[in-house]
Amino acid sequence: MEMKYWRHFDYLLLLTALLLMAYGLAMIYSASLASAGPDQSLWDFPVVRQGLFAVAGLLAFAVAVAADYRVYRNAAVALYIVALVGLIGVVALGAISYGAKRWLDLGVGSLQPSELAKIVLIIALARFFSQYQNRIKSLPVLLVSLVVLAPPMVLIYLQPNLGTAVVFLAIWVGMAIIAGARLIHLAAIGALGVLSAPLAYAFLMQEYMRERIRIFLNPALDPLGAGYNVLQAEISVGSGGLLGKGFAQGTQSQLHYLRIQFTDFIFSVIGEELGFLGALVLFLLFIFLLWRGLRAATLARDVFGRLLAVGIVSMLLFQVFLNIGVNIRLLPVTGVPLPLISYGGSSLLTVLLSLGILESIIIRQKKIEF
Amino acid sequence: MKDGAIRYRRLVVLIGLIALGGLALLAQTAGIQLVQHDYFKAIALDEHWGRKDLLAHRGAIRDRNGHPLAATTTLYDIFVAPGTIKSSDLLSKTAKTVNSLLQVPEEKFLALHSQARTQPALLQAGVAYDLGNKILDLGLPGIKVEKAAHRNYPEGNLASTVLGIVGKDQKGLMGLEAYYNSDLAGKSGTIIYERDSVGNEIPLGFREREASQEGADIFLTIDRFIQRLAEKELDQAMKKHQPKSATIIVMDPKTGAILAMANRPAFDLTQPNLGDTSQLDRMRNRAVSDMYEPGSTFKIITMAAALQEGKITPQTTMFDKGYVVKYGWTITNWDGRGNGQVTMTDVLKNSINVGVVWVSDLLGPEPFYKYVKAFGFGQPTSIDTNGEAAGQYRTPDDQDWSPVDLATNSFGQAINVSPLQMITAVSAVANGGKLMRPYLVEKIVTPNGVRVFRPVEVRRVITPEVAKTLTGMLKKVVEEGLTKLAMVPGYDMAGKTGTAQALSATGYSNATIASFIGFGPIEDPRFIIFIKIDEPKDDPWGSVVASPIYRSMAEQMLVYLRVPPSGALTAAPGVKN
Repeated sequence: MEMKYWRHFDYLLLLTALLLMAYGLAMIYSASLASAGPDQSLWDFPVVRQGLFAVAGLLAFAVAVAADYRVYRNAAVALYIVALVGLIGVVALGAISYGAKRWLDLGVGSLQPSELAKIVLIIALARFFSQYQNRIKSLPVLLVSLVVLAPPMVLIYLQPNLGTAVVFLAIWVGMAIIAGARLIHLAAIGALGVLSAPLAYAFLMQEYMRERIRIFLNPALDPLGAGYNVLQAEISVGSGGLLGKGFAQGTQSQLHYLRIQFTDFIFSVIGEELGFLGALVLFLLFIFLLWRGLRAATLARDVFGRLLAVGIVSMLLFQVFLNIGVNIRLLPVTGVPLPLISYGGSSLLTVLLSLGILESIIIRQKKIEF
Repeated sequence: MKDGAIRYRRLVVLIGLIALGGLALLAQTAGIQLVQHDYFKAIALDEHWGRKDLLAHRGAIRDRNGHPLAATTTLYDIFVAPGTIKSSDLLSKTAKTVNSLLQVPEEKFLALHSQARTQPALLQAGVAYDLGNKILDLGLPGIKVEKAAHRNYPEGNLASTVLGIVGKDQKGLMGLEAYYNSDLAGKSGTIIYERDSVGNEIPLGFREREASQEGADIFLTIDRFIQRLAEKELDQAMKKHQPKSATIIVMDPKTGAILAMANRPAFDLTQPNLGDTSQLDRMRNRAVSDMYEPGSTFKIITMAAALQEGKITPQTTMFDKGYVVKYGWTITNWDGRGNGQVTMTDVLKNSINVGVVWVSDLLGPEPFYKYVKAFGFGQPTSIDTNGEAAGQYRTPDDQDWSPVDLATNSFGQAINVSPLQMITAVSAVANGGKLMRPYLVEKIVTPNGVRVFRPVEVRRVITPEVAKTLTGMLKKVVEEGLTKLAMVPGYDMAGKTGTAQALSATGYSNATIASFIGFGPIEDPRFIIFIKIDEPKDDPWGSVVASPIYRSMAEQMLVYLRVPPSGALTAAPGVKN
């Protein structure tokens, strides 16, 4: 790679990502303090593991920066097929965890193909929309793009993983908007989706999803069972107030009132221990990150790059929205991690990889300076 | 640049969507954290405060000399809550502390703690009260302390119907246990502590203790010796006469203090069976809550009234022809025979119904019922226990009263009284005319002090002179009466028998209630004894069934109370010069 590329490298984007990761590590440390036993090895501490994931993720980031994003365009079909195979593998023989099959045991560790499949979908959709950008205003072409979306989304839904499936849909919406699809078409598809929601609830959804929706609407249905964490998350955040109870001082999270507190419900820990100000700082960091991502879209040298950037921004944005929305009882429980903050290797790897792709797009922008 | 413009517009749309979502998150977060903060803070606080009740030790019921009749032993069971201690330092420290306090091997504690279960495991049962309290106070991590109280009866079933019982929750349900429950029970304290999500106390967490107030000990007026004496007599009488039930009350006439109160049938204190209704019948304190027709013992009241009103003297005579016709009713003597010219003392001595009816005629209804009321009949004595019967009788104020009632009432029929009322009324005669309120509890001893109950004079019913005169007549009854079975050699006793027809559902039956009421020594009465045998099978007469019990009890009590023989102080046996 030539040195000139580095002039455009978005240090602010990387810095923001590093700040978010540091924030996340600190909160994972705090949230896992209470479960730490005296006899644990270093490897047993979630914060240590997450630190190692971060190192691995930054390596992936570096590789993605160095690689020209345009190679993905050609590899799109192959990647798409590999991803589908992986997802089928999960559904067919994946390890069972929390009643859902999301992991593939690779011997050295487990991997969530659905995480990486998000990037593959972004690549595939970017390829499709850029290839048909002149005909995107026709409804049939737009509908064909849904055919690209459908197979991985359905497979993930079958895992079952409604949250990630919805993230897939959000990726498609964001990319279709920027690709130039008629807004009336998108609105029609959206309306159709809303109208068919009751049917989906009755016939398509699995029982656990229906339960999550019922619990979301009224957690008191089962305050000590399925509704427990929903209520506890809200209590944690609410009891934090403006300034919070102090780092590692959250009574709800430290005393195990809040469960799965360093993965899906880490925002509740932030809300409880660092208060509204801590949450605001998090929001500002994410807004800054997304702004840098949209900036990458505007700088992209080609339509593929622009769409790729938009897809990545859509993915990150929607995950943030879904995750925090669950923590503050704005949305039903979906099981989507908070990018760069939640504990989890696959998620961190995927996010850093996608940020690397953003950088790759930025440094290869069209205004090549001499 | 049309293409660029569209692209720009599309970006605005996307940013618009982003902003919308972001605003929703921000608004909801601010709503929860800023607007509803107090609400959620309260919930969070509430969630991790635990509360434990520190049960107070239930006080004992003791006799007048401090011998416990009912006492609670409070023991503790100590449990280990497995897996609650995370730090190995704290774990070994706790194991050491537990070892030093309970002499439980550290290994046993550690083994129980490392069990893979959530239910607490028993470490040691039956730990003594003080040690248990100490452990509770220390608030050791991973240790749960459960209180186990047990009511014991060191004197067995002595005074069971007076004491009453406590429930499984150690609350008094009947008798003195119920009446004095608030004193005996004390006040339970609380420990407020920080707890984690499964309810375990957080080691070294915040903790506030409000100590419990120990229950008070109650000292009865009952003397366990006299009580045992009464119960022994009852048991013998039950065997000998096969009555339906029997009651003995012993009172100090000067104070109203109950020295003994015993009933048969009684129940087993240690095995009360509340589900069995026949058992409930055995738990009743008949001395206080049952009503009966007193019969001839009531003649004391009629005579007292007439003496006080100046209508008669002991020497007043009347002619007894064996019966008297009153408003179409014929009233006869117990033997149906006439005694001819008799004095008032003779009337009492021979228990002449016709004679007392004559007295009641002299007296008239107005004064008669005034005295009946003044002696405490028809209203509770206000003794300090549950279930007291008020008794009942008709007075001229009642519509269904007839002059015949006056005649029958004068010798104790057509009037319902409780044994306690009867002994209380007659004890006024023994007490120089002052009616005392009967009581069972002499003092309540709390950790903070002693509450002593003083005797309460209800009212003066007759003058000391009249009381003395009447006592003299009753002495003659004992000494020159029909059987003389109540006589105690060496001591001057006063008393009166009673034989009333027992009431059944259909009216008077052939069965009788044999009773005796007596006190002595008459120059300084130390006790008054009431004996009532319900429906004896072998002999219907109070003089035969009840009088010997009086003598037997009086003889033993005189020795126990070290009462010198009447007027024989100078000739004390064994002092020879």
